[in-house]
Amino acid sequence: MRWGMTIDLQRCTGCYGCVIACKQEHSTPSGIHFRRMLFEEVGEYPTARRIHAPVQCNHCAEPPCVPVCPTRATYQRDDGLVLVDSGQCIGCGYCMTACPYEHRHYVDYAAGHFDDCVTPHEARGGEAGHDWVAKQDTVVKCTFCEHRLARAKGTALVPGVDREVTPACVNTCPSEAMVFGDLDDPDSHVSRLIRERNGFPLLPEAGTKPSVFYLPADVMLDADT
Amino acid sequence: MTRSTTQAVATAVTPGWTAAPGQYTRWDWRAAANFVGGGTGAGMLLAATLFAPSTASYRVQAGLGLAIVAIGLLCIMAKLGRPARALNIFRHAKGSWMTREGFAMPTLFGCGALSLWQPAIGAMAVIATLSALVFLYCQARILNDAKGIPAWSIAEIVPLIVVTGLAEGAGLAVATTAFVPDVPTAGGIVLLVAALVLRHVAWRRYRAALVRADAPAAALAALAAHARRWLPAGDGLPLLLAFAGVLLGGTAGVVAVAAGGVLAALGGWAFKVTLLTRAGHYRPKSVSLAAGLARARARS
Ligand code: SF4
Ligand code: SF4
Repeated sequence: MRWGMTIDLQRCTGCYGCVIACKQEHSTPSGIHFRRMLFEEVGEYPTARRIHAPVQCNHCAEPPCVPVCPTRATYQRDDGLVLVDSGQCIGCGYCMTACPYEHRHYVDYAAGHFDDCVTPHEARGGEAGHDWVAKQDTVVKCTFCEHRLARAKGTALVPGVDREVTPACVNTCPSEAMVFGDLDDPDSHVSRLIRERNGFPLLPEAGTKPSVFYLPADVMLDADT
Repeated sequence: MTRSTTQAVATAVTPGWTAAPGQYTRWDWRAAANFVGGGTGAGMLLAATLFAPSTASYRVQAGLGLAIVAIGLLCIMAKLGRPARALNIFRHAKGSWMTREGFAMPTLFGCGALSLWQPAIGAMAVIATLSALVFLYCQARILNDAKGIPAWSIAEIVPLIVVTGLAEGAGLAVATTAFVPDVPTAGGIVLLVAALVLRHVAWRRYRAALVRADAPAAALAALAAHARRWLPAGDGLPLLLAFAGVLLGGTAGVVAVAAGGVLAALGGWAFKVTLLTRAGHYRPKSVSLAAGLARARARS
């Protein structure tokens, strides 16, 4: 079992729905986005274009952020999730230097987004129930919504199929650009998509073996101009 | 526009997020101070144990070396988000060079402190020196494992950090002899000269490897600016002063060698400050999206 995701760049419109859904689910402190939109400009006038992709922690199969952590606060689960035990983290920031994707975030400031109050949603730590005050001065990252995956235990619910146990970003996408599932199962939807659509990870040269794959879009690249 | 000049655009929703190489800024001068402390301290202990002209000189050099390592550690402690949990760093000896660095500390400080009270330079000094060298090697490997940052993680950083530390420490060790007062031993001067020459060779190999690896331009520019300022003053001039000191002899010779030693240390410190605070740029991510698309298209 290794959880993974495909993001179909042909379908993704760059609407930021997943970015906001993630923010809502985790109620991350100001300035911290577990999911972001990566834009890249290709070509030049008059045929310049922007291509984009939502990005997040890749829950790499060979994550360089795990071995470096001196406290073992960062660890990899058997199902492939790379998580941080904030109770152990000393906030040394070493893992942030090891992630080539810049997907680890230091919690400088855990208070809410408003000067005069903390909203009930912020106080709850979003749907994920993070205790952001306890996580102040530690490093955090995307959890692949492990709190949702955990709800599947002992039930017939299947992550990637049933909304209750599927990551919030996947649920929210209006163009169904994302599929979540088991990369170890060659017959899973994600595995088939990667095979059939030539799915590719970001920065393969970093040797991290990401679990997030992008399905190519029919866009013009430099070579086409 | 070519692929290498691809431009990234940050968006309003994710301020500061750009696909171009960002700079890692959480490790600031305090982190640099830890690398300065580890390198200079190890170099001083090595120079003191092998080549101190007298037990009095050993005590000054080793004592100063230990103090410098300790100051570096205090600086990095001040940078930890949760310093009260600092003992957690001992939890990952199997994988983390930061943990291994921590494990070198008890013998470094314990035996180092004991060695200061011994009547002669002996086993305690040797154990402390070996621990300091392990500490320095671990620091080099800490950078080597920072896989997101090319200027730190490239393999050539390891010898460069090690010999830079030795040059800094050997330099300060010969400089202290002017104050004990004492006369630097030939061995001490040879160690300084050898470390400076090796540092220069390691630097050239490092820069060449970074260029070959297509490291972020901003990191290369920061390192080039450092080289312009500090290669003549931190490598060339100390070598000249060391040779002049040997030729001159007497008090003038001691002063010349000491001045060369101080410059050698300053050159190393300047390099580490540049490396940690100005050259810590991440890998360019933007290349990957278009390149990935192109590769996928080529396969289909
Ligand atoms: S994307 Fe970064 S934080 Fe996530 S598992 Fe990979 S190396 Fe670690
Ligand atoms: S910041 Fe926390 S999770 Fe990251 S390496 Fe340090 S202790 Fe580990």
